[in-house]
Amino acid sequence: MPELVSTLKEIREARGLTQAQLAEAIGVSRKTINTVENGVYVPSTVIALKLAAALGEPVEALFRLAPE
Amino acid sequence: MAPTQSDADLADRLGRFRARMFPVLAIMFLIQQMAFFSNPPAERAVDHVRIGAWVAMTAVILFVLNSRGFWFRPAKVRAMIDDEVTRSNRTSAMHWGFVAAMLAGIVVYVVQGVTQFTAREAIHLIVSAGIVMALMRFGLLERRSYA
Repeated sequence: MPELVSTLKEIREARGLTQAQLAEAIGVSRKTINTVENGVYVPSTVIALKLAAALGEPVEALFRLAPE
Repeated sequence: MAPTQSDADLADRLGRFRARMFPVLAIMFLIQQMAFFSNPPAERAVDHVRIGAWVAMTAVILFVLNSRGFWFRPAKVRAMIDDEVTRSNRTSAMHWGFVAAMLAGIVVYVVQGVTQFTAREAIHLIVSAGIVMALMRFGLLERRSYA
């Protein structure tokens, strides 16, 4: 199964947001942001869309499949 | 003035607390099982209290494992504590708990030919294996998520 590559951390930091602030904005715990950024957890479509909306980016800018 | 704690901060703190407590709860539950096997209950009134206490403790742990917990906290904080990472961790923990209980059942069934277990002892072993495994796995995954 192809792995998910996330640029969430880079984009979040570029916006000057902490994990807690982003978590608060989309109604999840900081743990969710942390595990998604570290590649421990693959987020659901709903969370991915919420993250994209909160950061003002398309989902494709936050996540992409690693080349096989 | 102390800074106001956000809902995310509070959820974080409570989630970490739960992640630390579940393995402790598992060890406490195991110790209780050791007490059961080292001094099996007979038919005295005090033994019925022990049996009732074990049933109550088991039911409470099962309920806590399967619920969001933190009932007196705001709904938003509870939803954050029980977000999709935690639900995924819980699903994995329950899966491991089920497998551990089934394996314990198989072992009890096989060993029954060598050592005689009472029905109550067999139930203790099977339930303990399932609950302890689920608690340990859930606690481990949650701690890893916070790392």
